[in-house]
Amino acid sequence: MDRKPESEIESSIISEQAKTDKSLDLLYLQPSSKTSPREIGKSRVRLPCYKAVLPLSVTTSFLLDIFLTSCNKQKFLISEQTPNSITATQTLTSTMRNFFTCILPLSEDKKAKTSSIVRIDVRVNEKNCARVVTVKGIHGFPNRICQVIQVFKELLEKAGTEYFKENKEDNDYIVLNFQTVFYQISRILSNAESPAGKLCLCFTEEFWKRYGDIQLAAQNTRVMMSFIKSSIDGINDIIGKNIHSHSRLAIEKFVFTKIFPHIKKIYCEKKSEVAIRLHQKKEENHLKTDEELMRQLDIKSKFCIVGVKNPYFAAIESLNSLDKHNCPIDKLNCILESTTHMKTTIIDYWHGKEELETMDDQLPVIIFIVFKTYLETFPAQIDFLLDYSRVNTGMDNENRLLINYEAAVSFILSDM
Amino acid sequence: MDSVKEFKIVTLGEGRVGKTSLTLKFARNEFHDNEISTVQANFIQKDVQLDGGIQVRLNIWDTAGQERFRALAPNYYRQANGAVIAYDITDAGSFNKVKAWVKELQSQADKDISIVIAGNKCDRESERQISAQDAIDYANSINAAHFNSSAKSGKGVNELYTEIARRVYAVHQKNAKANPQLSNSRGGRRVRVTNDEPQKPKNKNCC
Repeated sequence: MDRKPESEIESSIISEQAKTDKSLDLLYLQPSSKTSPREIGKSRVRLPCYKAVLPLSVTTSFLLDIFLTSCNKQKFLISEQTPNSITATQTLTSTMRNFFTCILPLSEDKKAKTSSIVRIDVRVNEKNCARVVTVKGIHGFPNRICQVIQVFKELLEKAGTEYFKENKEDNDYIVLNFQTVFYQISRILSNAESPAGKLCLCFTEEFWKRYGDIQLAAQNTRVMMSFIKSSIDGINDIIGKNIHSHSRLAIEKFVFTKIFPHIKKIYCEKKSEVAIRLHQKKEENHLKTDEELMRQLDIKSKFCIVGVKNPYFAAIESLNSLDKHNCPIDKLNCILESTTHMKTTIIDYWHGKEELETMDDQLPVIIFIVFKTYLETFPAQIDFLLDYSRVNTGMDNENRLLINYEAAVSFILSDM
Repeated sequence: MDSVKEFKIVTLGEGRVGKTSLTLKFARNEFHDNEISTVQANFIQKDVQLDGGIQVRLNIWDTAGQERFRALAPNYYRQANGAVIAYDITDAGSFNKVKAWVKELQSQADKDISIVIAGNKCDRESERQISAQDAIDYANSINAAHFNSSAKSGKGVNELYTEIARRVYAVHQKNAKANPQLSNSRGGRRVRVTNDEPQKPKNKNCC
């Protein structure tokens, strides 16, 4: 590989960061022979860092291997290794002079040049089905850390290119990957002889025993959802870690595929009165045009998309597709998709000059979209997802989005 | 190693007083990719460093301030640990709404909810309609803090969110001492254990 001057390497990374991705956060110190101890001190807080979000199909061991190669090339030695992280240190030739510069408090510059530490961390974001890799400088001179990061990045990109070439006939490789895991999980859970299969069977029996009575179950759905969640966690503890990082999602999908039709009946029972009243309100207002509805909701004129038939059609359709899925994550994706469509409708229409950003602006539009959905089970679906987002940690944003839709239903019932 | 505790903060106030701008200013002024979970303006997550190296995470919820959506507010402030109630210093009416919000929170929200009042748009001091002293006196009378803020200039923004973080954390600590078993049931939800390098100290500008 051609070696570039250090400054060139850094500037190329920095410019790429500026052009492309905010997740790539690379901060650095300009190389200078006159770097002061104070600047070096600052550089400890702002050492280079590279972060990439990758498909789960890129394995942790593959990323660690690339990192090891990058470290070897730059003469960094492994000082610590765990299954998901590696710390590497570069110590320059041990001379008496270097030894003393390490000790002396006034030689921060030289101390940094003597030893540089870089670490890779690989984590899995199960919610987004992504693998997040972070390579960051822990200590030392930024230029040396930059070199490791640059080599790591090049190797990763090269590997990525080859991967895409191999899969050029199948663009849905991430979906395919998840489906493969789902198939594996389904095989295990369907086998009543396997420990996980037995547990799954026990769960199903217990579920029907506890919540078979729809009216009774409808009285405390949150407890039911907690029971389902803890059961999924239990199954995942047995098989999850050995199969795949996002196996929990596959287990969840398997479980909900079996029981969701019944869960839906429970939530429909719970929200039956709301659903009837919502239907009545829609009937009462069905003669109103979109423009009239928007006026009634006080939607600002710039968000009314004048002259476009069926404004917010995509956002409405995303909500209508809620019923097509059994798995809560898929349903949440519909909600997120609807919100995204709602916002991009405005950006598209105004060519980026206007944005639907504040709640003051968003809520009336959300109410309009909810009013236009034809999904009769909408209140039940939202209530189910609210329970799901409350019993699962780390879903604050989803929970907040769902509350918007719950609030929209309340508004339609009381004010329209 | 330290555990980060998470608190729900709801931003209330009449429409157009600058609620969204305040949260955006707070979140984006000093951007760190791991501090913001979403690009959406109406839900911001941000970590705040308190005295003694304590780090808390604020989940800040924006709300619609129009009067007609008032009835929907309980959906948003339910289970909130703190509330930032904003008013526009150039609009006396918006300060009267603050009083209404406070009454509502005191009767409907969690009894331990911490309140900080933000007199926003203080960059337009010449148009001020609400006396700063009156606002401070009112805040004191309800055991709340008051800050003059400007989402435009950034004045007082960090301070008011740091204050609400300090208050909700103090309430959490008090409840944890009183009832250790319930300390994580609402508010102060433990979300992760971090061993990251210490954050850069934040500027402490006086408002």
